[in-house]
Amino acid sequence: MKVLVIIPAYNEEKSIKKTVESLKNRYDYVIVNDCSTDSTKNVCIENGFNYIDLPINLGIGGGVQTGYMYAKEQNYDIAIQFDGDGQHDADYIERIIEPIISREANVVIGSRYIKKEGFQSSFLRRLGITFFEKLIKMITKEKITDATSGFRAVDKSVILFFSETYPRDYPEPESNVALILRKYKVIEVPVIMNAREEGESSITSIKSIYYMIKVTLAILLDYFRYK
Amino acid sequence: MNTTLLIVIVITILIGEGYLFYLLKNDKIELKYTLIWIIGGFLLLLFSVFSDFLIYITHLFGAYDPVNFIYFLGFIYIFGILLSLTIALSRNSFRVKSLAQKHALLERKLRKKGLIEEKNVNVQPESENDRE
Repeated sequence: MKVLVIIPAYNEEKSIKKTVESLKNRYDYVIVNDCSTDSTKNVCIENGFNYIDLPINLGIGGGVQTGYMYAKEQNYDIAIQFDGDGQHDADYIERIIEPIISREANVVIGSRYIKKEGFQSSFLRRLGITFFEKLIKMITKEKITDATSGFRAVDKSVILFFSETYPRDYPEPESNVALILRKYKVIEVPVIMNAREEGESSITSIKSIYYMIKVTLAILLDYFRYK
Repeated sequence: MNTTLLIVIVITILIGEGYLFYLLKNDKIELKYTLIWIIGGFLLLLFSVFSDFLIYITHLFGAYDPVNFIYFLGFIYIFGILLSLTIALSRNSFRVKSLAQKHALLERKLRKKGLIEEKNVNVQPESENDRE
């Protein structure tokens, strides 16, 4: 099975090299450089990394979707989203693709909160994540403990779906709900994530509230679309 | 505010919100830009139904008639929406220009490598929509 690791990158000059080196000998990968203003692109060029260079900044949704379009174009069977900032551990990739290979699921989310080990995020973040867990339970009847996890593996049918339809901002919870509503099999496996080493999160506190509202409305809207 | 006016306002807003919901459901409009319309609609609904609060605000701002004041607030709100749309449009316009330029430079590189054919284009009347 052809496996691709999609690494969205916006201003990750300090961590992108380490991230890619941890997996480049084991898996195919592609970096999606979202018009970084630092030297992320230079790091890719100097190290001969495989990258896509977006001509304008699209945000995390647009960037990751470009990765899925690439996966479709290159005929990959499995695609994995993997952060470029060192929060995700390449040793867990095997674990999250296994249920796809064994055809148990279409989508596997690497969740921090099944076993609650490793870096557990700030209090506000965890509050948000609990909120989404309850909202998703109410809408889809499924239990998703880490709906915002950017560490996710999908099979070919979902690669095709995401290349057509993928949310622009804060895409993870919305896309997970969209998948469940459309009857894709979504499961979670426990993983351990690290604290962000360098750089800043792209989501501040005020933005967080805006995103929570927007994502909640988007989820409700999708529920009414697909009821 | 008399009951007839209240009913007219409420029905109008509900129809408006319903239409927005239809547009959203059928992907004809983006949620990001719709939020401000949805919130505005509900605020108007609130002010109309709970007119005591509206009367209080009216006097607080030194106005006399609550109905006039609500028109004034509505005007300010719509002005704000228009401004935010103008800002979004300006930003998009810049991004389109940037994309077109990068596309053109990329096209030239590919053409120089022989990966794109150089063709004579038939001169056709230009569509008004294409012009800047």
